[in-house]
Amino acid sequence: MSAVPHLVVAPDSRNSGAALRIESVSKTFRLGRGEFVPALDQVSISAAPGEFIAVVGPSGCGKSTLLRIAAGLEEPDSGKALIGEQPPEAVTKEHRIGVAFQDHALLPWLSVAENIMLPARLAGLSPDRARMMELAKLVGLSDFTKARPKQLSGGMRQRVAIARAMMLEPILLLFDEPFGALDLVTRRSLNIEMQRIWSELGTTTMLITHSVDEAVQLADRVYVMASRPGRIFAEIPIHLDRPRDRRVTTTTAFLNLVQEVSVALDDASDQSAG
Amino acid sequence: MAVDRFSVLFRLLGAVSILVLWEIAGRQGWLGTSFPPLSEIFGVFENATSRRLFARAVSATLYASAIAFVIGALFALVLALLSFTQPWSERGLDTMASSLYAVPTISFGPVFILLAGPANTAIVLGALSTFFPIYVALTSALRFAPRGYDDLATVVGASRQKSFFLLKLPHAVPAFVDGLRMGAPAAVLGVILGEWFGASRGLGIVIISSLQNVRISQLWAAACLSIACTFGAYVLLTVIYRAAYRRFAW
Ligand SMILES: Nc1ncnc2c1ncn2[C@@H]1O[C@H](COP(=O)(O)OP(=O)(O)OP(=O)(O)O)[C@@H](O)[C@H]1O
Ligand SMILES: [Mg+2]
Repeated sequence: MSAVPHLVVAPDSRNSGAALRIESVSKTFRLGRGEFVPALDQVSISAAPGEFIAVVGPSGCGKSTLLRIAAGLEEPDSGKALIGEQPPEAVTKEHRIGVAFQDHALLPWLSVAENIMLPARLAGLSPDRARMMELAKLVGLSDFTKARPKQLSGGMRQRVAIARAMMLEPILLLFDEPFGALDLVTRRSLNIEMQRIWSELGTTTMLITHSVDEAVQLADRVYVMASRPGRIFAEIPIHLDRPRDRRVTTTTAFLNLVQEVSVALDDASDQSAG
Repeated sequence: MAVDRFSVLFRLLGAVSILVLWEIAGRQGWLGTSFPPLSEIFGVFENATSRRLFARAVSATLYASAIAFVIGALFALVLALLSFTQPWSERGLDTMASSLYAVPTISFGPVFILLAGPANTAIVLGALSTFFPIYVALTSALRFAPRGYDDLATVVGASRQKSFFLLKLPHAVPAFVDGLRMGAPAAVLGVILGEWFGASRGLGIVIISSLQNVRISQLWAAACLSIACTFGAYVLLTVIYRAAYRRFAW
């Protein structure tokens, strides 16, 4: 397999992120006889290697569809998605994309530990227990590795899904509202933990979220989408120093950015055909 | 908790009142002479000879049912896996399964007497009755696994085999056992039906011969035992189903 260009190669090969480019992608879904939903219209987004981008937008504006295209799960009608120089399908074959889905999709018959290691087993690689323990610790579930998903709360399940997404040391992480079911406090502390990991790993990440705070705190750039048809409404760079801990969230710079994104989001909602 | 206790109480009350009503109706002859009171039916078992007769019949029927169940379940398993993994076979197998189901089992009797011999007809009909619920349960669970599982498999670049053995198959376990649960009583019923076509012993034989000799109480006793057997098979499999469900489903 050819090496992915733009790779930031670290000694332990972990610090690797690939560029994500989605170029004028359009996608229309057929609802029924002669009824169509224009889910995405000429959407372009990009993330440099190691960059963290966040996508916010009203419900139904096509965020999940965009993520599914980036993951190679959905074929766009026109336009293309590239990870490095490769189409997503090629990267998934190399087991280098990590996805945390909106509906976690954990397997009820496996323990937390086995769920986290599942991508490795599915990919036919030998599961690395030490890495699993490390990831479980990262998401605060060290004491629950033997539990089954149904014994966990909604937020804990999402955390398992996050850990699972990182199991294969991906060069691209795609997160579809992975923190949706978490309370604010857990969410914040997890965000801070995540930042630490991301700065270590340097994995290119696309995060879909409904929380403007979260987008501003985590991302290097925030895309604001409008709906019907789903399109990019605004692109707001977040120039805040890292690491961004709790104190950052009270600074004027942070609050101004939150305000800017919120206003864009409101305008986007107004401009979304009702 | 209180609700549970009440519903158990009500069910018990319902069952007891039906039994009491049966007894009274039988004694008074409300439904004619072919409807004996319960006490008379159970009186049949007081006789040592008929006890031995019934014991032999029940064990023969249960033995045949067990064999029929295993054969039917194996066929269902193999054909369901075939239809899922080999798309070309799906249509044909589905059509075959539902036609088998649509035709009343008893009408196959004569065919199988010719094909399998009278002694094996019971097992064949039992296996046939078992097959359908298991096949349907398993194929639909395999086909309708959550979309998220397919997405996960695609995204991590899983091979078809890995996705089948790690996702699809375990996902289908509770449905498969649920099919077994439906199939077990069907096996017993199929066997009893099949015994009418000339088995050497079994509850079906007792039923036929009681009917021919107008031994009403013995006929009813055989019917009650048949029901006890199917119900027993169902309860046993329900216990297993619950365990499988706890282990494999949400
Ligand atoms: N498989 C599909 N078939 C038909 N329509 C679809 C399909 N998937 C998505 N859509 C439609 O595309 C549009 C965008 O859906 P999508 O799930 O991408 O929205 P979203 O931005 O993720 O929303 P949310 O924030 O609520 O998760 C919606 O109108 C939806 O009805
Ligand atoms: Mg969505």
